[in-house]
Amino acid sequence: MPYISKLNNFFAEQEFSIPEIPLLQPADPFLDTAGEDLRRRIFMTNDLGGETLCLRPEFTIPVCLAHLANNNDYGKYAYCGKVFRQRRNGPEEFFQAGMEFIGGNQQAGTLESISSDVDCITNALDALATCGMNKGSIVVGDKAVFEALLIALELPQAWRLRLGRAFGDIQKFENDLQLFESSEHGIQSRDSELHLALEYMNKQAVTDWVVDKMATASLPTIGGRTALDIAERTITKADLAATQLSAKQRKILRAFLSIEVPMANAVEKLCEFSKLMELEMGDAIEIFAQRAKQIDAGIGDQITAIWRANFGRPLDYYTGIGFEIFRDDSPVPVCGGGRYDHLMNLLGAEGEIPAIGFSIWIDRLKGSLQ
Amino acid sequence: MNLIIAIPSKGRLKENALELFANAGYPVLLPKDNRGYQGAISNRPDLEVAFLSASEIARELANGNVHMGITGEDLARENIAAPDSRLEFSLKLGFGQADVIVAVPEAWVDVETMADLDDVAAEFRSRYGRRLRIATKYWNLTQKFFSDHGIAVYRIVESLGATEGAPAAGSADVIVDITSTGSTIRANHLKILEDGIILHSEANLIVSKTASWNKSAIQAKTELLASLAQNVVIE
Repeated sequence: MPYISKLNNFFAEQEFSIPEIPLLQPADPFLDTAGEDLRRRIFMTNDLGGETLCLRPEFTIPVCLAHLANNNDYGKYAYCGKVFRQRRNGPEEFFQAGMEFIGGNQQAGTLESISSDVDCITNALDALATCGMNKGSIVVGDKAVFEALLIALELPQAWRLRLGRAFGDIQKFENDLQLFESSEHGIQSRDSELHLALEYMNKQAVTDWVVDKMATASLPTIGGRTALDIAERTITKADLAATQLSAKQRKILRAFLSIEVPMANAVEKLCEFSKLMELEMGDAIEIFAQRAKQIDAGIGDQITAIWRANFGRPLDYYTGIGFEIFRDDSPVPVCGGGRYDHLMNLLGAEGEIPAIGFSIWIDRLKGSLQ
Repeated sequence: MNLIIAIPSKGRLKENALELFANAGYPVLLPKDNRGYQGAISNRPDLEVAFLSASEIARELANGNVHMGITGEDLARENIAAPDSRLEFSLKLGFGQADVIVAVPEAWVDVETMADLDDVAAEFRSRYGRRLRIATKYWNLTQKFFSDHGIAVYRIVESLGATEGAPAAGSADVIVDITSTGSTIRANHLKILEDGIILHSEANLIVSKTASWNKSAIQAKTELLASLAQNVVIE
């Protein structure tokens, strides 16, 4: 297939390492990171020892595991091969190619992240260009800017975490807003002893109450939620009961998420927005501005770049920017990518190893036989 | 062509189903020996009765091997892919009521809703080195319900019995299980989340959309449904 050899040539020219990724993979790392929903979409089997295996559903996780196994500090990886996923439309085995930039100093929201963000996007566009795709559009979103907005709004931490998780999932975001608008999210328990402890916000008393309940139920005291964790969240929740999202905060959040402008106007738009809403968004704007400028300069004339403020993926390991690249004549993306600084940690790395990458759906390229 | 009706082969579901059929004027003749699974209805040689286990009934309906059957809605929705395209839940029968629910330890006083559980699940990995574990035999209902609530990061631990004991045994943190009165849940110091009811289930008369239906079968079905509907006791 011509696209595959073209992409392989491109990867070789860029001197990326191309790790060997077996077709059969242990299923647990995929289910642990992407969640149980993935179970329905992958092809699973068991080996004789009872380990659950699956046909390679994607490359990013195995590439990350290979990076960890080799103990590398920084690595640039490329891959091209068949993946297997159950899809409603389209065949269940198809080709994907992509690149991952793992390690080094490139955490989301820092100045250092800009060059690898831009590197990732330009490599994705170059890879597509080697397949003859010179026209199209790229949609970019940035979770770090949204998080900066949540801080600027001075929202309680518990709410910031919730809304951060809803980034990219407008339905979940609206549900959360409704929750914060209602005033009935305190602790509903009618236990009088607990109520007394909460009235005085006495953490020790709440902890004692929980310890007691855990003992009665013979719950394990290690390896899961501890009485102290439960007490702390109980107090936070009771504390927040009196707090309500103001109409102004609500309006700002919704207004921000509805922003969609050409990348060339993105900085101007964001500055105008923060001034109008009287927000102090710190470094986020400066970093966003530098990156937007470099992205705009780094892409070809025939590619339209758009900043869509609500674009992202609602999984906990995605951070920073996310993007999708489209052909002019099709609504499905031919390429998706983004920053996933928390993934390596989920896969067993000690501490955080920042990373970014993209993946191309080869069967969605023009004239592909796949 | 005969119309094949599947009836649960044991337990309260069977007794209730036989009583309902008798009251509706369709007395069921039991198999001649204890091991048989084929029954009949007096004076209706055009109707066949198959005694099957409740979960088999859902499968046979979906595959179109029987025309109508009585089984719990929970089993049909759990075991059949795209149930509404293959089955028609024609009549709620007023017995076999039970809810499929999400329950957490009573000690988790801060967790009262699915939104709370979402918060807890989100930080599980970073705090305890693993995902939140849910014990259940209802894989599909659990996945759909959690996904509808925007919760993706958890693991299912398969449980084929005494699910309510999983949190105390340390094999799971929370459970998705079926309960009729809630007493087993309470006895195990668990509580049902406010919005944690996945399904109000009860015995249903289910019609297969995939079985082959001719004119006489359709007519027999319509008459049977009408007679049963008049005799359903709503508690």
